[in-house]
Amino acid sequence: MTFVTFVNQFISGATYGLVLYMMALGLTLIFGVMSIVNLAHPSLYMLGAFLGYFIWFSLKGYFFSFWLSVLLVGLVVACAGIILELFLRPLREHTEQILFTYAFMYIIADLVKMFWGGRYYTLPRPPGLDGSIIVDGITLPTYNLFIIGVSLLFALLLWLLLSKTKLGKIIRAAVFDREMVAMLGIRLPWLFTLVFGIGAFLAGAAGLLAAPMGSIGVGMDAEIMVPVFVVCIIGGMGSFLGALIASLIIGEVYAFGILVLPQMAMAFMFVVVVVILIIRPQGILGKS
Amino acid sequence: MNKETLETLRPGMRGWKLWTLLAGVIVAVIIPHLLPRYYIHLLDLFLIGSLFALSFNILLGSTGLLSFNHAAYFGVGAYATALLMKNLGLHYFIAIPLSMAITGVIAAIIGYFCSRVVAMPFAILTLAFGELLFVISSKWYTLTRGDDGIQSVYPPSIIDSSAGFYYFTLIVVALATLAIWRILNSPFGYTLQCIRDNRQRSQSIGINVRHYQWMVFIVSGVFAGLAGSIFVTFNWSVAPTDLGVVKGGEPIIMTIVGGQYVFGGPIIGAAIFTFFQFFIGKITIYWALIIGIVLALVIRFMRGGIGGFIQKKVTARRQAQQSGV
Repeated sequence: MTFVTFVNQFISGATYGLVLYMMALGLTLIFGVMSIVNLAHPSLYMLGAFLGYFIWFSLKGYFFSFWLSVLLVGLVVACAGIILELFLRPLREHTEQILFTYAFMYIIADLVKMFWGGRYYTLPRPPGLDGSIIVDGITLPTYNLFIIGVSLLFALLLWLLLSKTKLGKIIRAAVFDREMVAMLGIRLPWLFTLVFGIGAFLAGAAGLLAAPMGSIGVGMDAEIMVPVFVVCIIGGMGSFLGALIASLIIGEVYAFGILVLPQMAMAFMFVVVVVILIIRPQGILGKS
Repeated sequence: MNKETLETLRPGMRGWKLWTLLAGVIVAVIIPHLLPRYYIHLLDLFLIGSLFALSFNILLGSTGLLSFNHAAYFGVGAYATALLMKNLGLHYFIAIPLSMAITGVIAAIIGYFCSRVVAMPFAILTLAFGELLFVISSKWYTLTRGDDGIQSVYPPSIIDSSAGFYYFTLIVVALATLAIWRILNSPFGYTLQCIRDNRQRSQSIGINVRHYQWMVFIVSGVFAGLAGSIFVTFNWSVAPTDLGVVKGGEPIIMTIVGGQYVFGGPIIGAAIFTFFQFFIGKITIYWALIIGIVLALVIRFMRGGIGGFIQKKVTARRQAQQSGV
């Protein structure tokens, strides 16, 4: 392997990993605060991609149309996430909640099929980001670098929100002890709605941001589902840093696995999962 | 209604139960001669589906473990049967127990890792391993023939008619159901319930929880594999989609809609699911939307599914009768 291929694979692996991380952020936040695993999260990602396609095309010609559509898509998908959360509220048992989000996976998938049909859409890279940068004779696609930046930016913003604001303090307290937070006079249902909204926003935005690198179609939820949840598991449920490490590992393993044995790139991922779970069943940074 | 009539009714009720069972058996036996071929095929599918869902419910209802890709074992059973018949030329009736053993081995390997974790990590890990088997089955072209699947796996001539195959399926599923019932009502089954209800406590009274979780994973996998073995000759072929995530959703829907805490729940669920798939599927292509809504409604408003609902009604009536006496 030459150095150039190495760098290229590394960048593409990091990009894939950090797209996974954008979704893992929301999942981790929701799991941490509410102990719910939102199985409909990949569906929200798919919804974001489809909505993004149509919102961006209807905004074409305006300044910053791509940025505006990322924001709009995020907000619309956040609303969808909040609706899901409202439905989830009366349920108490964890298995019930998980299965309820599972039912929504079916519902969202079929609604998407109903509105946009089964065909595939492709999205061009946004203007200004469709080129490449040449560093030291190595050509690096700008959009990949941009995705890496955006994902880390989201992580940074979330970190700032959690560690520097009062709301963040409340969320962290809720992760630690929900009942106590409720006793101190904080309305937990509103907190849950907000957390679910933030998570869904990230999933929707990730859907649109990742769309120019692949194609948009019904089934893209199932495609990303396993890697995303694998990242959450091997990172340790509820750990942001663990999810970052895990997403980079999964992304790189996938990218380099393709070079070695293209058809079995997915299988390498599972080898990593098995090895990590034998050594640390609770995940890299998970609490047992 | 006064006390005397109730007293005289009671023994009659028991007789009534026996007569229903007998009538059920008679109907099950003569039904293939009354219905057109298409409906017999639906009955076959319903029977296979109920065995599949019952095997899934050993994990969910009895042990409290949610497996998101139970189709993996269904598919392994189907593939094993097909390969043993096509590549080694074995007879179907020999291939079935062999493929159950193969499914057991695969379930033991996967279960070894899955039994290390519980709850959500367990669910996701089963999903991941299911995906791994899916990738292998669709990419290992020399063995599984990739996305084409394995075609023309015919049942042996003795059951090669729609009525014959129906009887065969009925007997196998009935025997397997009986076996599952026996397992769940054995000390082993009660230990599983104990683990479901309080894991820490089970551990502290000396139950090797991980070992039991591993065992139940294998048992459940073997029965799913049996369902797959019947399915492959019903369908005459097997393809990677038979062990995919979508197929893995079927027993989940069946079990939840039918009721996970009642033994017959998955069977009721399988009947409803088969009905939906073929009759609603004819009306609209968005039947997954409808089944998703039904699933959500059942989880929200009918805790314990339809089976649980019926059981609640029956218990309430029995209690009303007893308090009336």
